[in-house]
Amino acid sequence: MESRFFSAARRLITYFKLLEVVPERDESRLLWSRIERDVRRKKRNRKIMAWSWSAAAAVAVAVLCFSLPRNERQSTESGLMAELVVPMGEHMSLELADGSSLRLNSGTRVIYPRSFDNSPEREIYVDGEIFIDVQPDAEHPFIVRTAGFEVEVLGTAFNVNAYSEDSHAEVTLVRGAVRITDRAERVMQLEPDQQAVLNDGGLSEKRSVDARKYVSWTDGVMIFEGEALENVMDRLERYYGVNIIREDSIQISITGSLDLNDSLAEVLERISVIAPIRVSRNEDGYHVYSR
Amino acid sequence: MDNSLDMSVIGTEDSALWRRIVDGDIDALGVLYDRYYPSLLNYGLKFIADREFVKDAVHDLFVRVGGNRSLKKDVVVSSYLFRSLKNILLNQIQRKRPGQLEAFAFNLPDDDNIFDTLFKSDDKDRELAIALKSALAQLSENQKQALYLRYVGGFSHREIAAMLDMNEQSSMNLVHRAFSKLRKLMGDEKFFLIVCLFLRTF
Repeated sequence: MESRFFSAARRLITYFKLLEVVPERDESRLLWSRIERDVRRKKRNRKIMAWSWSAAAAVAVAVLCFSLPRNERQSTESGLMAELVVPMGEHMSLELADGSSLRLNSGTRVIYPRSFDNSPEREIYVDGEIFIDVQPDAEHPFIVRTAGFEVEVLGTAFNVNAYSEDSHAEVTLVRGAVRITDRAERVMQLEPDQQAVLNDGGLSEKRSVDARKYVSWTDGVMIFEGEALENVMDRLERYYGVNIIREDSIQISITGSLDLNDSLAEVLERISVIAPIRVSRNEDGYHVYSR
Repeated sequence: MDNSLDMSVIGTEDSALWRRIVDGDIDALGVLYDRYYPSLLNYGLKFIADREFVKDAVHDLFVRVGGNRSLKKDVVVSSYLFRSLKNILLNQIQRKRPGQLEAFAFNLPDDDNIFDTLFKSDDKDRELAIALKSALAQLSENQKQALYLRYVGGFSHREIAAMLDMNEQSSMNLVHRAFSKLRKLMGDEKFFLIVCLFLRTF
């Protein structure tokens, strides 16, 4: 019995070996010549790409947009996708599977694949504000999708500021290159220190800005240059996750920088020194009055 | 490769070859291709019985390896190639033939003519071989692959472990478990001892 088993098993292996195909020499050569041609072609293209990448070596963008439809949550429970929601008043860092790193601002929701293997594009979904440093990979474009529009990264690092409650959205490029496609399929490409303004998911304006101001939050600093006090309060509200109730309409603009490591009370105190405002606090948040 | 090839790379180990490929040596890529094309083609055919489809995937695999500037330096080369090929196949099927996605699985081929030639009707091993063959078909995907890679492909446990994304011990266990399942399926109590002997012999 034992020797019979040996014999049958060995011969069965022989059987499976016999079923293996043996490629013809010509067939094998032909395939190799295709491979060789395409590898050389790819290396040539890479030299051109390498040049344009260095021009686009670093991207930074700020984007502001709408909420993702909530029913998309379902499809993200599949295990292939992960979701991160940053609590109000907190900030987080995240590294994606491809080595790209993100800074997430307060109240931001991001949905991202656990792995980028097997997909021609690298895509993430954002509701809120992120700064992202994208790992260069010319073959796998990096796309940030928001409910209203999408941003394709042609370089390496950018900032997306896209909170659902705002109908207003911004994409600000610090370095490199990005291409924005809006809801109506209109396309805008940005150069460094340019900002795209979107309303209700539609591109409305391209303007020149000091882009560093829009990503300074990642260093714990907010820089304003002639910014409407109203907008400053919006951003502080979001960053600290606390309500700031505007009791009076205060039409002034401010210039300066704020250290976000300070408490909100300290920050408002500092603003009240340079701006004609008065601040008080009760249980529903901070109240700002003109003085 | 053509005659101008630097002959020194022919007998080179995979890992040394790989280092040259990482440095952009296209001749080294050609040697690797020659070495693995037949086994990759056969492995791919176990997932999809379409030779041109598999050849396209092998093409994509080697173009990716040869044209990739940020190739990982430390890999088990054979395993890297097999796993990548499977991923590319899966990807291509998703893209081009989504209807066949559900059928995407590792299957050992069968050919009655060849079987009957090898095991004639009066062959004393024939019944046992048929029982073994049908038992094989009932193994798990990973068990089938492990047995195939080990006994038909001739790969080491280290290579198989890396191909199937498990550690070396798990790969050995997998082969053992496959055999004990075969035993159960064949309903032969004596079989277990035989299997242990068998494992040592191969």
